[in-house]
Amino acid sequence: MSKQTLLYICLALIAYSLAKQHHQPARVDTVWFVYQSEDMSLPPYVVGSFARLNEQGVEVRAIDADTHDGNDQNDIIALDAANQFGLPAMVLMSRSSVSRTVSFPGSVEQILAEVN
Amino acid sequence: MPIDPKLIDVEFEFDGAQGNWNDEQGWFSAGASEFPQKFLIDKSEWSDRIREMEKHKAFAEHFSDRFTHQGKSHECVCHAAQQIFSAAYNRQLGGIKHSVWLSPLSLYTRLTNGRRWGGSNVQHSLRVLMSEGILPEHDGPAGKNSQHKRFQHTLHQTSGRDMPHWPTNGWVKPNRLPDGWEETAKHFRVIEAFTIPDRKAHASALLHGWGICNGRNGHSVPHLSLKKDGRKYLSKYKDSYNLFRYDSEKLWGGGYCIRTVTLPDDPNRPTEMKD
Repeated sequence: MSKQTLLYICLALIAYSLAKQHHQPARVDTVWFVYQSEDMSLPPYVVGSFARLNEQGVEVRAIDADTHDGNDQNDIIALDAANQFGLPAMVLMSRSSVSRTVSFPGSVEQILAEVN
Repeated sequence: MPIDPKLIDVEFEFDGAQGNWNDEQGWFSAGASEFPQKFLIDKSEWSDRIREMEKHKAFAEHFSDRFTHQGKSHECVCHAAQQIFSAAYNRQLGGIKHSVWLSPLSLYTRLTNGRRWGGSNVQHSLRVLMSEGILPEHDGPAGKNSQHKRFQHTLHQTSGRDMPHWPTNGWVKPNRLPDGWEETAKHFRVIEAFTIPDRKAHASALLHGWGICNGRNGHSVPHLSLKKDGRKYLSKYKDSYNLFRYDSEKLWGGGYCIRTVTLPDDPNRPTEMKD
């Protein structure tokens, strides 16, 4: 096999790998539980999911939309997504982008299933 | 396992708390809001709620990662306040991973304007926590002096004890706080606090995962969870002498709880703002 052919094969493999990476859904790295404290406090099972999410390397934010209006870019994106969806909402984020937003699931297991 | 009766309803001696825990108007003046009626939990539900909170490790206690020790100081009000502050801070950030250890002394010396002995007023402590905040201490979860390197302004934990590794020892007057301390303290402020008018509010706050600061006989303590011991309900507090103690219902009521504190833009750099 000539050096040129080998080079083409390597380039093709790199291009394929990059394309595949691009199309893979990005891993959720932060979960925001956004709620209105006027209406509710966080259910114990939601709080119980924090440690399990941390174990998986997922950051957690539990935000009361009544008292936090968003300081930084991530904050505003998550709050906007939650407010648009309707509170309370669980916002799943990946690399500062919203992956999706759902209602608070009904159990720890369902929360973990949403993230995975 | 039954709780040691010696740890229940302990009588205190004065070590720093001034003011009236039951003075609801005083708490309003300090910045607390009235405890929301809709968050009151009927006693018939307490047992089930305790089980649920324990199962999910959702009490404020589960978001507190240390004891503090006030030594021979009169700083109990500030030791108790930083304990319930930290529980609220860590809960918002989903656990103790981003915990910041705070200096009770940095609050106390401002409350007393540099008077070392005689204690501080409890309502005043909340007002200053809401308006100015509190400084991190030199030590942190990562070890001795770890926060001294991490933050621009830090102070040692208390004047009650000296640790050889603390860069500053002993008593510090407000004018000896590190220059520009306000810039760091403002990132650790209370946003929302409620009064605790009665026993039902006390139990309800704990069952929502909020820590309560109250006291008696001149000593202030941070309540972090609710327990059932036989047929009795006990409020568990993390006393600033490295031990847990418990109060029965007759001692509940009064004080304040913290629901919300400042939220950092980036918990890894809590004193830096992106904008």
